[in-house]
Amino acid sequence: MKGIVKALVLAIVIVTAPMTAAHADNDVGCGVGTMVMEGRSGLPYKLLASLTNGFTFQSISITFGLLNCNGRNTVTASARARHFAQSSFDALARDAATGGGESLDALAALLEVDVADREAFARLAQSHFDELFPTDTITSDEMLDALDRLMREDARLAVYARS
Amino acid sequence: MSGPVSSPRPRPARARRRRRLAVFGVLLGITGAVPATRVSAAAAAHDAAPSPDTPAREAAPPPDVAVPLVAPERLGNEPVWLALLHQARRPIGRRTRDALHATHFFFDPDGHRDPVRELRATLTAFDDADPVRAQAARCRFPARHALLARRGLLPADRGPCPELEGWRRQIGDVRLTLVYPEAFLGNPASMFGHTLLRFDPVAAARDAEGEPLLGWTLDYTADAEGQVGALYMLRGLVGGYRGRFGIAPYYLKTKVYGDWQDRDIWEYPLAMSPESIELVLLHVWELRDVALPYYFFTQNCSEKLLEVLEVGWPGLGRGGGFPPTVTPVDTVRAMASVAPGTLGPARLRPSPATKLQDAMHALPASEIAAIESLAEGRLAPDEAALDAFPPTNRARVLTLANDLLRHRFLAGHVDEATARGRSLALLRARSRLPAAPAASAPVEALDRHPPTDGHGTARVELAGGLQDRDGFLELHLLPAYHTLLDAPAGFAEGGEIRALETRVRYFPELDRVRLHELVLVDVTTASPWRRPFRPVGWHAELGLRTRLLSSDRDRGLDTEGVGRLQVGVGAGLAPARGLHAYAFGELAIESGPGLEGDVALGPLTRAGLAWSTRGGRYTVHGEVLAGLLTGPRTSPWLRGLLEQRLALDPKWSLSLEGRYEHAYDVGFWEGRLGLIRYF
Repeated sequence: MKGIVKALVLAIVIVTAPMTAAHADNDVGCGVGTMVMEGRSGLPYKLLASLTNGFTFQSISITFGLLNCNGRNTVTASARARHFAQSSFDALARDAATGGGESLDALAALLEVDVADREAFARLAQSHFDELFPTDTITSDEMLDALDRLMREDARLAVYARS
Repeated sequence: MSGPVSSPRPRPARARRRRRLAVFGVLLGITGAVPATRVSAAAAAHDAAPSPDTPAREAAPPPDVAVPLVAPERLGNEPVWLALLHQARRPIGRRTRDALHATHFFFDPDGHRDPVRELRATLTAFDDADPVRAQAARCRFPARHALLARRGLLPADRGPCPELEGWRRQIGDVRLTLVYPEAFLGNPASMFGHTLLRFDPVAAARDAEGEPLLGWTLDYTADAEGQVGALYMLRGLVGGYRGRFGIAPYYLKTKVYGDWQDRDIWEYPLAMSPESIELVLLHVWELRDVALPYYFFTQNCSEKLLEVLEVGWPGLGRGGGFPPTVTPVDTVRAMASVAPGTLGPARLRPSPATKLQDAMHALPASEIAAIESLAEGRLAPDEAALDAFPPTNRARVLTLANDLLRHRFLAGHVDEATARGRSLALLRARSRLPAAPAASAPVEALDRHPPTDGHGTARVELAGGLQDRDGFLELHLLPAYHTLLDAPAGFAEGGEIRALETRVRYFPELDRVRLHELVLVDVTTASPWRRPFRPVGWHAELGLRTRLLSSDRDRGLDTEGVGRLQVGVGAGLAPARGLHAYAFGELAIESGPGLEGDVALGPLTRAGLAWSTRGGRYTVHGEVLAGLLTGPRTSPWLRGLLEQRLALDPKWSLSLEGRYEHAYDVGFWEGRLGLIRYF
């Protein structure tokens, strides 16, 4: 299984590398999202993105982005949680600030937080917004690390912390 | 199911004869004469609708029942097998055939047209003397293997397929949801909407709700190689691009459709049995390397998705409609027509833009002003001015200001560095305030209807009327898609799309048949201005029409064909419920032999008003156009028209129309009454 994951990751790196270069964007593929307002900008891009009703994601096809590409960070959350956090960074920031939302719930599900503890999770995110999003250049990985730290210090949520 | 079943002697010719007999039987109304066919139909029906208490796939039925002596030639002609070979809906064309063979989709060289031979070849390949090759074949075509095993033609054990099993584990146990992002008029490829299939993780016990965002989506898209515009559309029509199936997390899709393209998304849960879902998933695996020619109106995202779903629901969408094209809405409707309850109630996932409009709809002016000032950076989130609002309102203002800022950033109106800093400040201030009260239902500012509620996308009209002094009968065909006069439910507000609209008129007194109008494509978008958005509408029309021109003959008027192109920009308003107003500034170019071979060019303006009763049963539309046509016959161009449409039932409508037109120094009246049938 480990070999397959490695091969998959390698395949993703190879497949997405040219894409990343072509669009100068880390949105899909290796890399992490940055605070805040990640994503491609501009109307021309909107048009381009819509051309194929889906665009670049298709090239990844059935590889199911397991995206811990740089391998340097300690694995503080599952690869899917990382990919999700990177792809939904704006929405997560918004949900954290407002004290809940669909994206924050989905992240909680990926971190295996019980439904009963989701509200506590959302409260934690809101009350520690400044620690989760200290600057506007923070990456999604850094945010996840901070979140993990906060959960570890929280009596109720400590069981879900990875490290 | 123990051990391989000895393969019965092949008798394809006889099977074919039997099928022909069956067809004759149906044609002649003879029933009961062809028992063999009826048995196979019953088997198909069983497959299409397994009873709810059908045991799970692991639990094999008792051996006596499990070996229903399904001869390859019978299974080979069943809808489910045809679906696995992508032959259920239409014969495979030459280019698709080549593409399929290139990816070794068939074991038999004739597999693309002879499903029974392919079934035999599949059985042979799965049982290859070389165990490695046999195993590779089983892992490459697990859905075929599962079906053949279920029918007792193979042992149930597929053998190890680590790659497939790893993939399958990642998806987990799922339910299916059909996802329909609404039309995006900003792009030709998306004008008719889109369809995807979503695999929703069946919620673990502790997670009763499940998280739709974390589901995987399957869709079929053209790889356009970054091309844009008319060339893209043209190539798309003739199959110039390769289409591919792709799987991606749903949260990426909602970002593209919702965040970037402002498209609302409809989600329909599908009631498919776990066994059928398993077969569909295994078939998806079989398609992962397949790249096929992509045809916009026929072999497009919808058709291919139907083909995949057919594996779970054999016979789905058969018989097709008129015309034989498939728009995404047709896919959704085909599902709805399979059986009652197949398609669950639609759930709307509004785009961020829609949410913003809804949220701002009912706000007092002071809050709206604050939201816009904050988003534009004229007001800082910590300024005392905001203290005037109670905390709940302040929280709302800050949240919506961030949403508006994000929308403007994605639209390219704010640069990234500015947007980042401003957004963080807004969210930081917001986080100091209490959490929003538990999801209160958004204010429904608009009537929103799922696409399944909409009118048929193709129509035929028979009409009679008077043009100038000549009576005529008219056959009017509009294969796609929606006009202002059609019931608005389920279609983009203020949008119009006509493709290949054809009007042929017969003038009995003159005994002449004439092509009156041929619109290749005519697209209008005039989404109404609604706070905080002021969308720019546009219009583009390309086609042929007849013009009445003065001549030397006694009657004074001649009909002449002209080719025309008209483009413009404008805007829409929705001043009241059911009311849609618009205005456009445009440029028209006309050319034809009747214009002495020259080109007429003219600026024009047009404005109109449409009003529909609630539910869209009755619609009236008036428009005035004023412009100039310059060229050898420079003249003003004036047109006024009034159209009405009354729906008799969902399929039939009456239309009544009157117009006056003056162009090229000739003026005439026209009136017509028609009966429309929607398909």
